[in-house]
Amino acid sequence: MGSSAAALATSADAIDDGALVARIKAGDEAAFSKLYRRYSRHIAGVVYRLLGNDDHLDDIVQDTFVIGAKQLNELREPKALRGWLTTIAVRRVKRHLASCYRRKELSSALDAVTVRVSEPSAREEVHALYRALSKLPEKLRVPWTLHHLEGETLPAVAKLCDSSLSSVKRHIAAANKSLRRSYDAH
Amino acid sequence: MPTDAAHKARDVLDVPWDEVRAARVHRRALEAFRTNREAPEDCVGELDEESGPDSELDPRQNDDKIPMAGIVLSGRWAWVMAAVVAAATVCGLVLYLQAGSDPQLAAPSWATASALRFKDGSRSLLSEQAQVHVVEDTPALVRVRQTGGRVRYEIEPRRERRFQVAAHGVTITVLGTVFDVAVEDGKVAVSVGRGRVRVAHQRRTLELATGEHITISSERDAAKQTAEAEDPSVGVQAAPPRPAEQPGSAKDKAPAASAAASATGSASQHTAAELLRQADSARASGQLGRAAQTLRSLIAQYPRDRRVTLALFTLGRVERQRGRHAVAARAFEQCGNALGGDAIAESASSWATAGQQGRARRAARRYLTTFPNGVHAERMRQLQ
Repeated sequence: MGSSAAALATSADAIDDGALVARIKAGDEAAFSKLYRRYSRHIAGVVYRLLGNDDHLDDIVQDTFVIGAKQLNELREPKALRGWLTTIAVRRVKRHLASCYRRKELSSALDAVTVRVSEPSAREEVHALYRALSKLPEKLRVPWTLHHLEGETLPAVAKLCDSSLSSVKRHIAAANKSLRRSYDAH
Repeated sequence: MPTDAAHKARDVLDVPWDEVRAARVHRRALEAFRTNREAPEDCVGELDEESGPDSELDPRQNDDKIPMAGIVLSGRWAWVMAAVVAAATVCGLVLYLQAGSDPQLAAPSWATASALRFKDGSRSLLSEQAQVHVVEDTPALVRVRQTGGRVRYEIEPRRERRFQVAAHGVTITVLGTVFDVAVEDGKVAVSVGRGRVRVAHQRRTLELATGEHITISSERDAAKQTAEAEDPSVGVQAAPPRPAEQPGSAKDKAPAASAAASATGSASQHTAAELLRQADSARASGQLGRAAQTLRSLIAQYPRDRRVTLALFTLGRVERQRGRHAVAARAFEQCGNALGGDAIAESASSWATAGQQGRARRAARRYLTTFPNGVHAERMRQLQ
């Protein structure tokens, strides 16, 4: 564990994404590890902010890299690697949230928001936000979170969500409306 | 307002992604990457059903789909069918007895066995101890009563004729097949070599396909069987090897066919790596029960494989997702001190969630003794 952690702690090599992609396609494990070192923290952050808890964080990050490596042939522009991986992660999150929503797990999770907040004075406000987000279906929740919490532009959100710009705008507006209603109710 | 809270959250959210966690996920991802790379071409794609982001497919279209035996169903019907399959599986489990004292499904050399021929061209190959009585042999129905020994039935497919074997209250109806029946010590074992058979016992029926087998004990043991089948802690036990399933030369080939794997229809000759990949795939698609079952198969079939610790840890996570915290805690405990103490810490948390505070405290103490400065130390101190 220690050596593995230490290995991950080292900074990623200067090799560019294009070369990295080519080596991973050839089955190079070291290149896969480099890819992971380079982007795992970013992916984990996006996933965590979308989910609001870390129950499935490990699984989704793992799946993102494994699926990404397997489907690298579909990546047309290696420079877009980071966004491409993020799109895979967002898809996994959407699938997970949709599954939770279907199983009505969210209703039981409403009182158990455990998102970690470093600033105590902001904790209640952030928890309230995630409680409200928990009530939204994934098609509203994900674009809203990507735009307002991740700070992605609307066109970027559309790309990450495999959706049109107009759909994303509509979903974010609907999410805003629903969230305001939820806030007003409390 | 929500947008203001979001802007604030952007700065104060503390993502729980430390080096230990990153290393753990890295190890798992690397293992999966390695497995995918080694998998044959026709296996690639099992991990995930969705295409890459550049694909024309809309991922939303996949959300409600459940892959089942090569058929993809969608929407409400998928869940209805999944429920039907789950119910059928439960029925199958009730009929199923774990191996160990099975009548040997491995028949003697059939090449030298004596044959009993029927009018329709079907035949039965009899072992030395076989006791068979032909009750009826007409163009519409062939009925055979088998009271002992092992018999291989090679049945000519004929739509107009039913072929039935009755053995100790178990009725096997042939749907066009080659299958073996062994009757020993009040137990009936049915193994399908080709085609399908329908097995009926008391009021339950189950269809077996090629490669599947089942052992049914006498009514005296029925209650015990049911209890074993329903006990979530009952793991997969290895059955004696069958002639057609001898261990391969590869180091991680299954040492023996798994009775449970056969009875549930999954291939018993998968390598440990393949089983891990299947479990990951099942987990990723939300089929947690299937994932747990596959991981148990891996652990039972390859107890010395280097992947067992990872499988146990993953099993713990899967069981926790299923809300079975005590089962999860046991799985984590079996990992020992591996994974930098993560497993001990997870077992402590799971015991606590399961309401077993004593066990939670013991696990927390063990963690703090072994990893006093570990990343979970503070959390473990709270559990003490």
